[in-house]
Parts: sequence; structure tokens; C-alpha cells
Amino acid sequence: MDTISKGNVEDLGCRYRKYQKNVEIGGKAIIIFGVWSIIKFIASVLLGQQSLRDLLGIDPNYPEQFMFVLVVIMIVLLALTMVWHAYIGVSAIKYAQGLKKSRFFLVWAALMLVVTVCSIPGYFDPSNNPESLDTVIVSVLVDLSMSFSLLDMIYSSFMMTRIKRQMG
Amino acid sequence: MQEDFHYYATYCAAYLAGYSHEESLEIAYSAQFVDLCSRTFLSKIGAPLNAATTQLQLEMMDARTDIIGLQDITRIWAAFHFLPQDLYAQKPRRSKRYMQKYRLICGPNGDLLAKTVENARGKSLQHVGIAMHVLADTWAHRYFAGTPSLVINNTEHDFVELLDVDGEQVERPVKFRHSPTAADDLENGIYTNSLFQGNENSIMNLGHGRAGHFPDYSFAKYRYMPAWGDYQEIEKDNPADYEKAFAQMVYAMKFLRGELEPGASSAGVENICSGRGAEVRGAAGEGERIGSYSCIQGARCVFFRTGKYDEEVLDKYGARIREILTKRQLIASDDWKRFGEELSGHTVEDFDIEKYQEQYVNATKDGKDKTFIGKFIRGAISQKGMVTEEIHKSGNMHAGFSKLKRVRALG
Amino acid sequence: MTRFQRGKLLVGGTIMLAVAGVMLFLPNVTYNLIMLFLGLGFLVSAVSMLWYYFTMARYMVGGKMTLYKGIIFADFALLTLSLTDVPRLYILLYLAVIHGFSGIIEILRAREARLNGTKRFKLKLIHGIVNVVIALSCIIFVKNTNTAVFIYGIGLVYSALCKITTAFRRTTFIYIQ
Repeated sequence: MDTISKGNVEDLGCRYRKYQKNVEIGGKAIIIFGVWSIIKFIASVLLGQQSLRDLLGIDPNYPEQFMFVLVVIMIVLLALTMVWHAYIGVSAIKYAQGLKKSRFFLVWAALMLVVTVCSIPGYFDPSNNPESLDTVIVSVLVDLSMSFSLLDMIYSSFMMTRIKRQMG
Repeated sequence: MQEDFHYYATYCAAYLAGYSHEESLEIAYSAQFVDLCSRTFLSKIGAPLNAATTQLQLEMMDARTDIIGLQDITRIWAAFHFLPQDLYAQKPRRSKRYMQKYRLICGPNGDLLAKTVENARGKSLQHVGIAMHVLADTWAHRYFAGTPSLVINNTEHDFVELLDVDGEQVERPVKFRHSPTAADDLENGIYTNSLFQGNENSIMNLGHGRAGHFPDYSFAKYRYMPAWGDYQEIEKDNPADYEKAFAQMVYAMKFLRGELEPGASSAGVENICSGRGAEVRGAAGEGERIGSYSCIQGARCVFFRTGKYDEEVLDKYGARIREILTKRQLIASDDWKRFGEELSGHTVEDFDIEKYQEQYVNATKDGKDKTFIGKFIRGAISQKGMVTEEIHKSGNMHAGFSKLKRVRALG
Repeated sequence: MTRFQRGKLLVGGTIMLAVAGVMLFLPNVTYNLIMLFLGLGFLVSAVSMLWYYFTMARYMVGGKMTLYKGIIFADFALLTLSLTDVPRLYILLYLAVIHGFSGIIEILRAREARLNGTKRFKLKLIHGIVNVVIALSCIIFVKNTNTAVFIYGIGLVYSALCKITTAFRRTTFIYIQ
């Protein structure tokens, strides 16, 4: 006979699977957000209205060698950002699939959450171009979504452990 | 389901229901033909294209997924392969858009099944064959919908096969690959399924593509998580379902042959038909729908009851049927064929799609309806129209409109 | 199809024809219009993805991913709308890739249909050839600054005619009892 899980024990199983899925999706989402933020930065610099100099507020009188060093530093920072996102994302996916037991990645996830939330007020700086309000709103939405996915991932990881203990 | 069940098993069921060898062959042929009667085939023989009961891989690749295309796809697949179980299902806190797709989920013993069997009553053997195909598929394809839908037909990648090893149930994770030409590897648990497509209306999200051929293997027992199930897992027991499908086919064909006793309500009172063909409910306000009945005013009503199976057949042949169903093989045609030949004492010829083509092609314009394929076409259009109409009546536009055109029955 | 659906297709097709006409006659002015259309197209996709999440995907196992994808797509759409210095070459390449790929697939499918014995492959073959011709035009006339506009306009006319034809198709299923 076909069976569809129901009842107390199976209900726990349902909830466990739900939180497991949340952690996995959270992990994938973090990786995608990381990749997108890098693509967006590069596209804005190459094809947008402002150059890298304008974005960083560098005095045009500074020599080209200084710009070169700055570009190298930017690339390193972008790479580190990507590694940070990838570490959290891959760890979350492995944890959800039962391939990893350590939850240390949640520390880095919490740190990323704090950094993201703290950066949101910066979008509403009065010195920003008022014509770019629509892009600011969507950027805020992106950061809020990323914060939500981090929070969801952290909460779901703890719930997974709790339910696993209840199930014995 | 595959040819083993739609052709050979249907032959066995038809013979056990009391049809002759020749009649059983016609019914079985029609049942299998539902899986092959595509627009390409109909175009080749000059038959009306709206009688298509299936779509080939090629046709599906070309199928549009705009409103018209989706309605066309749904009409074919919901009417013949994924008959909806409950067009009025309720689920809390769901949008109307979601519910319209949810209500198309296939399952056995629904109201539409009763109407499908009733629709075949008094009609040709070809129509009976079509009804048997639809009935059998409600068991195999349950939990999937005959409309492209990611939110209904998607499954999670955690698929587990439940194997019987020395009397003990063992779980083995299924490995899926996306290679339509490669055969499934039963020994190593490597199966083909359709690629994940994030588009809601992608043709890859039609039916049980994401579960591969599992629903069509009679031996398969497996566990998976459907997209619509709120994280519940389903354990599908194909041998048990196929056994029920077989027994129900026998019961349905006995009903169609007029062999069943006049139906009575649970209070023991015979139902006298008022001629209005209304649905019958259980007595004493039970409210349980037990079947629709046919309109023969003043006569005793005989109605098709869903949820009924021919227990006699199961008592006599159950062990043999279970042996065939649980044997681990890609297709069980040989076993069913042997069983059928033992039952009838006649040779069950292999299915040949070209058997009746010449008859149809060479017939005159007026004579086409009297040919085998002509009768099949009438049955197919009738079934498709009935299901489309019912889906539309339920407020669901996924199958579009249908228009009833009454014609005199052929003499 | 309901009358409303047919009307929607007709109106949509007519508007597309009008816009295509303007593009073909005023190519210099309409270059920025193409960027606007592309950006708006992405924005509409993003909004529709978010709408899909709230009406359908949130009830699905793993549906949350659609929400995140929708938000990123919306960001991508607005980024496209804000970009001012996209070289015309990139737009031409984008159009060439889209049409070329689509055209090759259609031709292969038409060939497969013909090998299977069906007579209904000619329209598909024509679709495929038109797309490939559009793709090749993007490459051959790459030096002409208004090529992108002409090609986009022709593509728009083609889509508009397909939409209008669809609006007149008979869709009611007639069954016999």
C-alpha cells in the first residue's frame, strides 16, 4: 500500500526535512548572492556612469601607479568576498546533506549577517544621487534578502539539531 | 504504465471479465493504442488530429507553452494518462492559481474515473479499451498531474528505492541521469529522469518525468518527496497498486458487460432511476459518493462503484499476478502474455501498430467510422471532451473549453 | 481562449508592430529604446518571477529559491536600465547569439519532424531559417551602426505577426456524444 507520512513522529520528520531544505537553499542563495555582487560591481565599473576613480572618490591628480595598486587590492578583496560566500554556501549545503557535521560555518554566516545589516543604512546617505532611487531600493532589497537567507539558514540549522535530538 | 500492462495484462483482465479471446484482443489493442495515437500517426493516416491520445517526444519538444499549447497538452494528458482524482480538492492557505494545478493531480477512484467508465457503457470495445487504459494509469501515475507544472510535478533529488533482500526491506538511494537513450540499470540503481527546469510551464515538468520510469515499473517500491506534499514523503508500492488496478479493471469490464447486480444504496433500498442521471449518495445522509448511474428511467439502476475490485479474481489468480508484478525486469510482457495464453488457450498476438491502418486508409469517407481506428477515434474524442468539460465545469481553465455536439449513434 | 485573451494578443501584436515601425524609420533615436526594452523585459521577467513565488512557488518544496532568483533578477534588470555606455557591438552579439541558437534548434527540429514522416515541418523550418538569417545579418552588417536597430525591429515585426495569427486560431475542443 502507498503511504504518505503522517502522525507525530512523521510530523517531526516533515519539519526536519523542511529545515534541512532551508539550510540547503540558504547555502545556494549565499553563493549566488556572492557571484552576483561581484558581477554587479564589475559591470558598474566597466559600463556604468561612474569609473572606479569616481566610485572610490580618488583625486584625479594621483598617479596611475597608485590606481594600479588600488585595482589589485580591489581584485583581492573581491576574491576574498567570493571565498567567504563560497565557504558559507558550500558548508551549508554539505551540512544539510549530512556530509558535514561541524557548524563552524555558522559563525562566519553570523558575521556576514552583521556586516550586511550594518551596511544597509549606507544606501540612504543623502549625498547619493537622488535619480538612482530605484536602483538603491532594489539593492536594499537584495541585501535584505541575503540577510534573511542567512538568518533562515542559522535558525534552520539549530532547529535541525533540536529535532534530531527529539527524534532520538 | 507500459505495453506489458496496457496490452497483455488488459487482455488477461478482459478475458477474466468474460469477453471472448477476439474481444479481449480488441480491448487490449485499444488500451495500448492510447499510448501510440499521436498527431504524427493520425496525420500519416489522414485521421482527425483532435483524436490524439498522446504526444510523442518530438511533438512535446515542439509544443508551445502559451495558453493554447498548455490547454492542448492538458487535454491529452489529463484525459488519458493522468486522470484527476478530485477536481474540487481543498487545501488551506493556497492561492487559486495554485489550486487549479493541484486539483489536476491524478489518483485512483475519483469521480472522473466513474464518469470515464460510465462514458464507455454501451459503446464500442475500442472505447472500453480506452477506459481501461485510463483506469490503469490512475494507479501508476498517481500523485502527478497531466499538466506542465513545476510546483506539482517536481520531486526532490532524494529518491530511495525499497528493495526486498532475503525477506528484509533494504533502502538504496537512486542515482538519476539525464540520458533518454540509455536504458535504466536495475542492478546498480541508475535510472533516467528529466532535467530540472525552473520554468513552471516547461514541458519537462509534465507528468512523472522527474521520477523517471519508476511509476511504470510494476516491481518498483520507492520513497520520494513530491513538490506539493509539504515535505511529506510518499512511499509508492507499485506491486500493490498494479494488483488493485488489475482487479478493478476486471470489475469495470464486468460492469460494462452488464454482468453486475443492480446497485443498491447502503440502506438496502434499490435505486430506481429518475432519468436525470444524478449522482448517487450513500443512504441516511452519509454523503459518501458511491458512483454515478446511467439514465434508464424507471429501471433498476446499475452504477459503477469506485473503490471496488474483483476479489474473486484475486483469490484465484492473486499469487500468479503478484509473481509477475514483483519480478524485477524492465518489461513483463512475456510473463503476462504467457498468463493470458494459459487463461484463454489462444495465442495472444504481439501488438502491431500497423494492424488496422490499411483498413482505415482504404475505407470510404462514410465508412471510416465503422473501422477499428474510426471507432477508437470516436471513443478518444468522447473521453477527451468529457474530461475537458468536467475540468472546465470545476472552474479550472487549464484544459480550455469544449463544445458538445450530439450525433445519432451508429446503427 | 477567452475573448479577453484573444484581445490581449491582438493588442499586444499591434503595439509591437507600431513600435517596430518607429524603430525601422527612426534608427538613431531608437538605439536607446532597445536598451530600454531589454531592461524592461528583464524587469518584467523579474516581477513575474516574484509574482510566481508569492502565488505558486512558496507552497512548493524548495520554492524559496525562486524568491531569491527573482530579487537578483530585478537587480539585474535595473542595472541594465542604468547602464549608459554599452557598446553597440555587445547588443549585436547578444542578438546574434539569441537568434542564431534559436534558429539552429528550430531547423534541427524541423529535420527530425520530416524524418519522422510528418508533413508539419515546413513552418518550423521557415522559423528557423528566419532566425539564422537575422543572426547572420547581425554579423555581416556589424559595422553599420544602425544594424542592431533594424534587426531588432524586424524580429519585433515577426513576433507581432505570430501573435496576431495566434489570436485568430480556433481553440475550442468539439467532442461528440
